[in-house]
Amino acid sequence: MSGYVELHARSAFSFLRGASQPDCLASACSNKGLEAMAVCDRNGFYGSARFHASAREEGIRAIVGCELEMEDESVIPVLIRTRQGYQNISQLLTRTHLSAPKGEGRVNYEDLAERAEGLIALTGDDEGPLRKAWLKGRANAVQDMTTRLKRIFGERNLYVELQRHRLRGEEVWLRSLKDLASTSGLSVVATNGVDYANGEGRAVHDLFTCLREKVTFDKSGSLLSSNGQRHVKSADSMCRLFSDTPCAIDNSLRIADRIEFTLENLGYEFPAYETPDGSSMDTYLKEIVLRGARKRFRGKLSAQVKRQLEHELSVIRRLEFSGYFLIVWDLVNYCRENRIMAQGRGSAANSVVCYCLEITPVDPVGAGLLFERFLNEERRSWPDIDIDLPSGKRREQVIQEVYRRYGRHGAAMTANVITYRGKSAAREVGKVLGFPEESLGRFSSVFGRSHYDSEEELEEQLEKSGIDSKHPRARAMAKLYNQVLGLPRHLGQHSGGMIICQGKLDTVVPLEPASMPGRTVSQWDKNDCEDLGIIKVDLLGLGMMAVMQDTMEELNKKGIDIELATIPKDDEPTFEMMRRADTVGVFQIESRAQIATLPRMQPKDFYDVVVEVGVIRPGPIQGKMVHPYLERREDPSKIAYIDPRLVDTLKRTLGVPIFQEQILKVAMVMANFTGSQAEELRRAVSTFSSNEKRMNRVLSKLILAMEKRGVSPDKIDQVIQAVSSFAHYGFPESHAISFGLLAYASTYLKCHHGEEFYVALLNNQPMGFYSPATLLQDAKRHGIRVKPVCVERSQWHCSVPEKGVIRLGLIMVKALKGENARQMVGERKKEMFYSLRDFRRRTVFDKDELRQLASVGALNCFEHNRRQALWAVETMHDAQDLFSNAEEAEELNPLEIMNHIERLQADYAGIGVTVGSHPMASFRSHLPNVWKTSDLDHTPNGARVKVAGQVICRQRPGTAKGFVFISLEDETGISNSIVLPKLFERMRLVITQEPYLIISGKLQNQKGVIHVKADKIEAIEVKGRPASASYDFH
Amino acid sequence: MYAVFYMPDFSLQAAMRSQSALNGAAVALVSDHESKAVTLQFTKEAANEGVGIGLSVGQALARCPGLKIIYRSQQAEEHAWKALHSAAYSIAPRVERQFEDLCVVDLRGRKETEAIQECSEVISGLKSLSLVVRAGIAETDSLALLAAKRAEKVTLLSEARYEKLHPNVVQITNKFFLDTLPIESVEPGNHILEILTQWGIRTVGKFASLKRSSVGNRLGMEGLVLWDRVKGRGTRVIGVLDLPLVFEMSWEFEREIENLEPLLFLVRRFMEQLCFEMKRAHKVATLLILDLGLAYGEPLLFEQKIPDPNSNHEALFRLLVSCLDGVSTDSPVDRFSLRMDYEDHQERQYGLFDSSLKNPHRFSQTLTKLAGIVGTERLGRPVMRPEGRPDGFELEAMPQTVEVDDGMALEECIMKSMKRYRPMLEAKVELQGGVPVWIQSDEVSGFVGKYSGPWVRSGHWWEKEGLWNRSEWDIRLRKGGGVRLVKDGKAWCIEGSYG
Repeated sequence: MSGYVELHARSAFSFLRGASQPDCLASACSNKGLEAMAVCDRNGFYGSARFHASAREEGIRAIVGCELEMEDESVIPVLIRTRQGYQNISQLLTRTHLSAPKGEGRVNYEDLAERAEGLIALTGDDEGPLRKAWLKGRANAVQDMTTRLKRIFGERNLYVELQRHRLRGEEVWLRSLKDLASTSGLSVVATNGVDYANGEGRAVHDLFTCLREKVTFDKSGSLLSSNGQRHVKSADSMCRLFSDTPCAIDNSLRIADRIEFTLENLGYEFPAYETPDGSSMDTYLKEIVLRGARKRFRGKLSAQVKRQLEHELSVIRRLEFSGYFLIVWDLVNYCRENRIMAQGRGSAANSVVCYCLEITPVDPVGAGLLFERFLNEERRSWPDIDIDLPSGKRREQVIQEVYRRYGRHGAAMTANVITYRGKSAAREVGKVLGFPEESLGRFSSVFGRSHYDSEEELEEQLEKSGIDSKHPRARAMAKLYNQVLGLPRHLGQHSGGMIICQGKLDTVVPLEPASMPGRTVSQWDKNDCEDLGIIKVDLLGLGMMAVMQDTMEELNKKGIDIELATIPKDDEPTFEMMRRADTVGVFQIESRAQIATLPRMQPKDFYDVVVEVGVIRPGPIQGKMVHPYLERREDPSKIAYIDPRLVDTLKRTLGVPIFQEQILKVAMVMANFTGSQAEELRRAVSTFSSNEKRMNRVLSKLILAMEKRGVSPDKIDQVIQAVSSFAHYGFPESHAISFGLLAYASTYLKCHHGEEFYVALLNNQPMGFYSPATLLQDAKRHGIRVKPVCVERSQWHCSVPEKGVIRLGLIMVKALKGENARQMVGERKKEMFYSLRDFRRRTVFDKDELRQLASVGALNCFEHNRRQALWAVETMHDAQDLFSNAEEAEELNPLEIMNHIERLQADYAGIGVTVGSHPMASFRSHLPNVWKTSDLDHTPNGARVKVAGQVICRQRPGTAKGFVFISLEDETGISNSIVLPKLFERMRLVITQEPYLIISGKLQNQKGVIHVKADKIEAIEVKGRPASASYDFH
Repeated sequence: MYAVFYMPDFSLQAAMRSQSALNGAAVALVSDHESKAVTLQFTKEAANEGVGIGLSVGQALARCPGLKIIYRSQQAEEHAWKALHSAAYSIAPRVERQFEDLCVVDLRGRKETEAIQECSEVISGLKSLSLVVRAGIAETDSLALLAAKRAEKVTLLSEARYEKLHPNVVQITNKFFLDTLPIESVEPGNHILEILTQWGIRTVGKFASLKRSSVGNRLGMEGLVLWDRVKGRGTRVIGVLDLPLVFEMSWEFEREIENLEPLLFLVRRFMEQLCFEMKRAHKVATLLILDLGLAYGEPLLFEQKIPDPNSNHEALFRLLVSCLDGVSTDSPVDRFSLRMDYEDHQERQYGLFDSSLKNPHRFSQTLTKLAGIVGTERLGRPVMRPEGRPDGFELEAMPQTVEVDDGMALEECIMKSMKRYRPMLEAKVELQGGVPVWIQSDEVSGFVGKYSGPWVRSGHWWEKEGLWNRSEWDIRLRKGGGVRLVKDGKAWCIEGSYG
């Protein structure tokens, strides 16, 4: 190596300190001609994985390091020389993080001394221990600290760090450091203390300083940097800067030469599985797979299945993945034994081995799925199995089982990097710039966009919030906003991804406490783990699985034998329900967009459901695949293919690429991509949001390859458009099949066991697309009677007391403590309550809870009406009063009975739903000439209509070019309206703020899909009428 | 029977009265908070334009471009209050000021019809002074207060029927009034209000119709107090309003005086007496006001703030004398008045707050003299602006005490002395390899021998105005002498030369 190596850089993963993404740092290094760089993020290796991947692409060397925040508040940068050093630091950081509240862990010198082997330390910058000692002003403080560091690291592994940032006065300190190095026998090394890739990053760095210190720019004083010199500098610049101390530059190269460690040799091993009979993992796997195959195929294995099984098992054996499959199988078994629904999805559904192990529910041979999408010998990366579990306690039980099996330091959740986006980014930038809170609040509530295409567009939106575009800081606001978008803000935990390791996971990656108790989280997210070959299992919680499990358990209790595997897949009433788009509450196909598609789709079999699930995604929508597909379904003469070579790949979807595997197959066929090149394309597509450059690089390769094969330009365009659109996420077919199964099964349950299904939905809130109020209205439209909360009859959960009836549970009552409600139910089981006084005596509800119960009518069993109950519960009740049991003359209730509106208000305030009539029913007489939703079915296409209702959904999908979709609910159903962008801008406040609207416009009633194309929107004067929450702008 | 006189938007009315041409205009009264003035009260015309409470001035103007902004005026409020007080006092001697904007009058002992009549005349009279006042008359003071706050002009709550009342007077029964009065008007606590709302109790009448025992049993003491208040239980003795303490003495000379001695003699006497009275009242002086009436021409007024409030006549006298130092008048003095503003005397723990000033009073005197010469806005303590802007400093107010200095930090002592050029000298610079080799300016020119730098600093980048960005070089010329060379934007300048 020649020139210079930057040994002390911080990426944006030193949260609120570094201002550039790791890939930008790598790119800057490359541009400046540096051959290597060390990224030393604060208290961890957060950005190291990404820097490692980017550095590889840029052809530079990634040196691993980190900054250790010490117990005396100083910061020591360390570089990892050997794997031992990495393991030491990883364990040290884990111990530090886990021993203190989140973010407060500090390394102590004794611990560091025990784990210093394999490290090279620098003395740091202004936050370093020497500088801190110097500022304390005690005589010999610097010398003492130097001696201490030498004892910890050894003379050979400690370097005095010199930084020059062109600040007047720094030479005094630098001279002292050089003298110190000379007298202590230490070498000096030059670094630039990089905080950003280029000069523009200084602004973001200053912004982060203000955010960290919670001040505005105006009040930041001396906290901000004095200049913008902390960017990546070329070797020439650094040489010039240290022309008086060339050895400091040379030593950067010497240090880099001594570094042996890279993230390529982490030493990660997936845990081995202990077979019960002592046989090898390969042998045992084969045995249980064959056993499972006999069960799955009912003893009749076709030749194709046998061949596929052999092939997959041999690939698994060669890749040495048997242990992984056994561990996942064992976990799924644990779920089964504990009666927890578990279903594998994702690319694992492409494997017949997974099917036979009962990890996945779909026969991939029958479905023609591609095994290589799941496992590929060419690209040696780990398989990725996602397990869907019922959300809530059951999933947590499985997660804790993993911790139990592998230990707190042997398993962890993967991280989820929370980045600056949209409204929150604008708000934080605006606050630091000193914009008034009122304007920022207005901007946040009125503008729901997640990004702006240009600074000019943002400035325009700011103007509408009361910030003049000529405001001297408007430009800075727009510029900073765009710079900060996508930068890491803090680390959260992924909802279900877990990594496990043979031996100790904390020697592979530092672990931290998660905000949820009982969990630890790694410092890398799932993409980082995948890049570094760390295997993960995703244990994802699906609300719908909890709903389905609850429903089926309830039915089982009633003697109805039903489970997911036994639900018939060809139930005509179920498909009929889908064709009617009567899918409120079911999985995946209940959204407004799905409901608008189902009548055209007219699903007749299971695969239609799979396509329905896969087609309403940003990928196919952006790629303009949806309408062509639907048109071809309606008129098969329109079926066409981009190229005849793609018939086999695309015939199942009528020539339209809908699934991710199809896109990969298109690339393989048209560009002759190998499996691993196609996999690279897949990875680039799936990480587009965090790495646009990677995607663009792969697309260029694809275009080049197709050109070489003589593919015509228009076909290349079609292929590229299809592929690019999948950057906005389309489903793998296997995933769509798994979800399709859940969509079908949930519709089946709604169709045949509606009461139990709705009750399970209510008991597992929040989830789904619609509020509980809308779900209940849907239940009522299906002829189900809904009984209110009652302390004499309700359980804690909602329940089905008899056929055709739902009883709301105490769980619905806001602010009611679960343990108090359960105590009440327990008391009631012993003996029914005979009066309110008895109820109060035997339960432990406080006054607020009693008031709430009275307000929602739950005490009407004791009193005649809610007001009477409210009157009664307010009396002072003293449990110690000896006379409290005596029956005294009851006072007459002087309060008036609640009228309908008051009951509605109390219901929505107290339980969020009403069992009475829909609020719109009380408006109806005041709204002449307004259609009911149920009238629209028989209204001809093109007719001018007026609809009204409570707003339950406002959507402005990113793929819809500014169109807004509004769903209104009235007492007869849900109507959907389309609002053009211009109308939306004009009526933005009314649309976004009003709970009840009247929408006028032309009716579109074609092919079973009904919309109102809005041209006029008005608010309804509500006068105290409540509304449930709406689902907005997702 | 009680009468309550209530002046809505008291501060606004008072301030508007002291300024001309505001009647019928959209006017808003704002707080006088320096950093963020917000609207407090506003006229109906402003409300119609969308002005509301709590808006910043900018926001209010955005809603109503023609809005006039005015500020609170204590003097105007005092004058307004005095007008209200004396008018109320003319009806009955027992007057109590309950809040700054209302007073209660105990009408007991007066003939009711006469008292009611006079109340309405008071309203009319105050209106001619441009003060809009409402009155409520009722059996109890609390009902009268409710009536005054909700009334248009004069509201009489009574079960009895009075004949031939002034047209201003609106007579309604207690029940009717309470039945239409929103429960929020009696300001129940949030908790009680929530319960009453759940009960469907929306008016005071409905609440008053509940049994007291039921209210007490359910709402506790807070409920009982509220109930008693709306029912107007119990009579109340109205205390007499105390006259405000005024420490003022004045003198009119028999013969006009032409030199200071006789004046100072009397001033000293007055000072002794006023300080004596002040001590008796446990007050201390905060401000001295000396009003000199001249035989011809406008009187001269001297005000002296007392930095360390006290009632020491010698110290106060010396302070006042320093005000008069060097003063001369065109006309002889024929009268004067001396007034002291005051505050409560507080015990002090001496020694708790150290000051490095040996004599704070002399310090104050010196400052006063300087302020007289250069102006108060040019008097202060310079402090460097924290962000490091070159030459960036600001003046802060002189402290009342000066902290003991524990010496400069070691770092700050290592500095070279530099003679600064103000303004900086424009310079022409030749560079070689990015390094200055030759400089030329009006005062300094030559080839560069040694140099250090560049030192680069910049700041306030988020705004065009205020943005700064410079590079500095320390240059030693070959022929001798050192300068600081600065590049500010595109221009080269010499900032100073080193000694």
